[in-house]
Amino acid sequence: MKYEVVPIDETFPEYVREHEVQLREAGLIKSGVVTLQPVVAPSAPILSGVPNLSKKHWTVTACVSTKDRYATTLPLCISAIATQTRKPDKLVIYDDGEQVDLHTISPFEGLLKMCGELKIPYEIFRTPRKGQVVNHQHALDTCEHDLLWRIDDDCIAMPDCLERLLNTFRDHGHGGEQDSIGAVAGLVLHPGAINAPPDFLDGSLKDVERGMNLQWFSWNGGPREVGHLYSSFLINVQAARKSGGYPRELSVVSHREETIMSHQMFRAGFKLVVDPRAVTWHLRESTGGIRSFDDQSLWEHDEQIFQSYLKEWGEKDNSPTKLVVLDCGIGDHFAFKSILPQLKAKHTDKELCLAVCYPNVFDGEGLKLISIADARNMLGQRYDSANLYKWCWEKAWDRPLTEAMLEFWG
Amino acid sequence: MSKIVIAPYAAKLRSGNRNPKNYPYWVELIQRLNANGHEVVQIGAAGEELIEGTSERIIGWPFSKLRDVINNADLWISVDSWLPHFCHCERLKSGVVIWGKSSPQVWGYPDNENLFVSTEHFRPFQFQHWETEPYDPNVFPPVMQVVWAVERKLKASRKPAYAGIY
Repeated sequence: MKYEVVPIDETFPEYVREHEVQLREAGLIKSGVVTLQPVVAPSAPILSGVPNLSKKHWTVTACVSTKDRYATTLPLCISAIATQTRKPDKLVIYDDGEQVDLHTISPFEGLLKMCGELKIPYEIFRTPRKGQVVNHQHALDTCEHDLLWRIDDDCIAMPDCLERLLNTFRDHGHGGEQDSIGAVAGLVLHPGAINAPPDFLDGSLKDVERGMNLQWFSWNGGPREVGHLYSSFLINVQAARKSGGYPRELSVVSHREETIMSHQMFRAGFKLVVDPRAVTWHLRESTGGIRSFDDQSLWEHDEQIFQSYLKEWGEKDNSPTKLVVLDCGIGDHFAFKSILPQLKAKHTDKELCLAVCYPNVFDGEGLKLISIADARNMLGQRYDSANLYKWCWEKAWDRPLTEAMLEFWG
Repeated sequence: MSKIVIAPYAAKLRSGNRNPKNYPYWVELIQRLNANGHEVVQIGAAGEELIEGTSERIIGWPFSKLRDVINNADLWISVDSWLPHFCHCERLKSGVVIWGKSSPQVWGYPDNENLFVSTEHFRPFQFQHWETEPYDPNVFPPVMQVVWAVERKLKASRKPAYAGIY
């Protein structure tokens, strides 16, 4: 921890500035021989034309892009932002939904008044309804503060989340590295499914190919540097602008937008940090948001764009993963093991990943094994489509189980 | 005297109810096998009820040791549980499987001796879970049908004392 004497300037809270004389007399503000220029850590690179971020108080705009969640998670999200131990300096809401005047409906009427009482200025945009990318890009382009805290509208940040993110921004590495940090994220946890991360998760884009993300897991330890971020995180505005911002070619569902945007910052040389002490709960609301859209071609369009980015980045050499979910009895695990050689022969171009209840059945096979809970996290709403029994039921399957397995996973 | 390994129980149900795949006549079956001069060894998981008449109980052993137990036995008898799948996967000797409401056509292997009373007892939806399935002892083959199948299988598996040219 570094201690420095700095002058009271406009970045200090209003109370301190108004009571500077009394606080100095009380010995709570120390005087020293200082210059009026801000302190610069000699090793910290300064981006050209960019405000020096090596200071002690950074301003934050909280940004929420929302669609059709007035009656579900949006009030919870806003309430969590307003009750942070370290309040954001502004709240911006992009309404892609009904665009009703929120001052006239409950509970927003009260929540927005609460923001007023807590001295959090807010702004609500009625958008052209072109999706999250357009909204987040607008927030990035117009942000007047140092940092932009983006939060999904079905996420609930723990009260100390922003404070912890800012502490990590300040202290990561040896401290004073803020100019090299692109974004800081916390954990984005799905209630009821919190586990330690599998060993093979390393925060790189390979995790995306596996359908997993380090932020979904919890670990005892310090922050980790990663190659991409998910859902909700604190962005260094200048770093994001310098890196190109969001991929505007995505569709209105904006699938993979934060992965592409954050990885672009990573490739531009900025660090992405995940701190397990900053926690946001992701309720994965089943209505509203991108779940308002059921046109699969939008997701396919965005996935193709993502794949083209991967190719451009030279990340496309990774073998795709073949996930097998064995949410069944130990006997079925042995039945699957008996057809494993045939399955491997069919999928030589893929990496087999098994979600199992009995990992010891596969001891010595050298296979990637994950838990059923991890598979649920990975697949989300697609989990049922990975259920062999459900498939057999629907087909009224009456042939041997091993044949069903070969057909289902072949 | 032959050594016969039995795996008498299917997986425990979360409800605590009796698994509809569990054979109801094990005690009588083991008495018959003992009377025929066979030694019966029970294998299974911790917490399973021990059946009277077995000479040895092997509970909670690792798979590598269970492989040796099966290899050293003359035959195994099971209900529709993990053991037939384990033996098929590990390419161990075939055995006798006692069926009730589950169908050997879906869950079984043709190299085993699959015993059932009638296909009419098989559940119409073979992939439904077992938690709410009522238990019916009448769907299982009688004890003597199992005994005859065991003797038949043992006879077929006995190697000649000497094979060669005199």
